[in-house]
Amino acid sequence: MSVRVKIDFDKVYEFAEISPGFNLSSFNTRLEDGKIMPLKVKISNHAHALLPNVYNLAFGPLNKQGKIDDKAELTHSDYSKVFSTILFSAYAYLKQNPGHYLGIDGSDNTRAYFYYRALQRNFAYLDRHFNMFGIKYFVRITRFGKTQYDNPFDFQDIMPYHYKIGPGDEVSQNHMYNYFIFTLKPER
Amino acid sequence: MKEKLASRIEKLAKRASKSPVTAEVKTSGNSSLHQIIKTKQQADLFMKLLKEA
Repeated sequence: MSVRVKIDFDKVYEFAEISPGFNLSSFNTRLEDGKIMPLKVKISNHAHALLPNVYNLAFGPLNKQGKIDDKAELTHSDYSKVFSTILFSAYAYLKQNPGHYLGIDGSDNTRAYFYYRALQRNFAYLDRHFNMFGIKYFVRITRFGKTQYDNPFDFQDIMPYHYKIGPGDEVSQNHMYNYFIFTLKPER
Repeated sequence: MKEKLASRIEKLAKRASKSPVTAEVKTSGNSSLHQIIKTKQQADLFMKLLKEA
């Protein structure tokens, strides 16, 4: 995806629907072939037992089972407007739900890298509103095996670690974050 | 700018309160973060470090 996204909360699609608390919204995007496609933005409404303040944001069209398809490959006519709308809905949600953290999964490395590039290109704008973190997951090494066949990794012992995203930070696609977290910047 | 955004959000909140969405939308499941956090100790350490950042 070599698309340059420019985030601007003044240039967003009109919401077709929005729920109280802003957990669910939808808007219609225009695809490059002229087709109109409804997109849903859903913020989980159940907190994880162990991470009570972290809520996951998913977006995409609905599949035949009525689930958000976050792996759908769409060619939008205006990527800037699509991502501005999604991030504006995240901003509105955080304003309505102070103290919450919003997380976004990159469904694969390419998509996560695309999101990261978009964050970097719009860092000055987004930094006015959000603190942004990239999260990587690390697996514990038990000990190096005596032979090359011993597996030294304990995949039951994984630790997430956050990196505050700063302007111009370069992270290659192969070392891309697993997850992104947004919080609202405190009012000055 | 923030005042303008606040006013837009207020209008949206009013609209949302009048026309609640009824259709339930499912997602593909838990996030990757929620899948790898398995213990309270892991979660507490992660949140502590995140809040301090």
